[in-house]
Amino acid sequence: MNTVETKTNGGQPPSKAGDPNAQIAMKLRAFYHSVQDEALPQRFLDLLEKLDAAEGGVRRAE
Amino acid sequence: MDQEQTTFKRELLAVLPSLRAFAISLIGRHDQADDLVQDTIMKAWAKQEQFEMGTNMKAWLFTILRNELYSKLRKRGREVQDSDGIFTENLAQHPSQYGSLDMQDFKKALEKLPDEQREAIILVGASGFSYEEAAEICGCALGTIKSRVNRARQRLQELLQISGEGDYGPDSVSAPITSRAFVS
Repeated sequence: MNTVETKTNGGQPPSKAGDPNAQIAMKLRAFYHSVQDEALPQRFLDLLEKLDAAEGGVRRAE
Repeated sequence: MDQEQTTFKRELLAVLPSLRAFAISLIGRHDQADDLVQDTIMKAWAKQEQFEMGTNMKAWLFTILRNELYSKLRKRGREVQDSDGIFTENLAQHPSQYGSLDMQDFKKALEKLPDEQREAIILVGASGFSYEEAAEICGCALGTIKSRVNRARQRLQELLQISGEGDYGPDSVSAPITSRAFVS
């Protein structure tokens, strides 16, 4: 699923470091990945647990 | 059924870090972005029957998040005349969120882009979508996405004053072109 991550390079072919577009692409990815690498807030995991449990309850009742 | 449910949850979890990064890149604030991600999870969960296993869960979730965001913004626009809007500059509230000064400058520049240019360059340049997928997520034509990405790149170069010359010395091929673009 996450393999697409490496597929594109800012939508352009690899370019040399001095290329302004390459610099922008690099900064953008660095920024995005710094957020992506943060630990997921516990609230999301709790929420999914709750949704899962609620669903299970409904199904048992049916 | 239970098996399918588990797969759905597992795939959703796998996409969450990227989905959250998309939200934070769009909005610039962790708290509001996390609220948006939470709404997106609930929407997606409620609509999971509509999702076809094996198709692109990531694109599906990004589309839901984007729709949530813009419907929120539309509501907000009707209520207040955006003095504390979702897209106003919020960097000051998170001065140490991002390590380097360089990163903070970049984030600030990103926030200055028009919404549609920002989302286009994030989807294609960071989230790993093709132009085609990004066009689908944004509900617009392929050519529109391409031109938004190009304009976003140019604008970011201007804002960050990246010309290829400053940091790396003049580049005989691109310098004349890029410097001409900045003379406006």
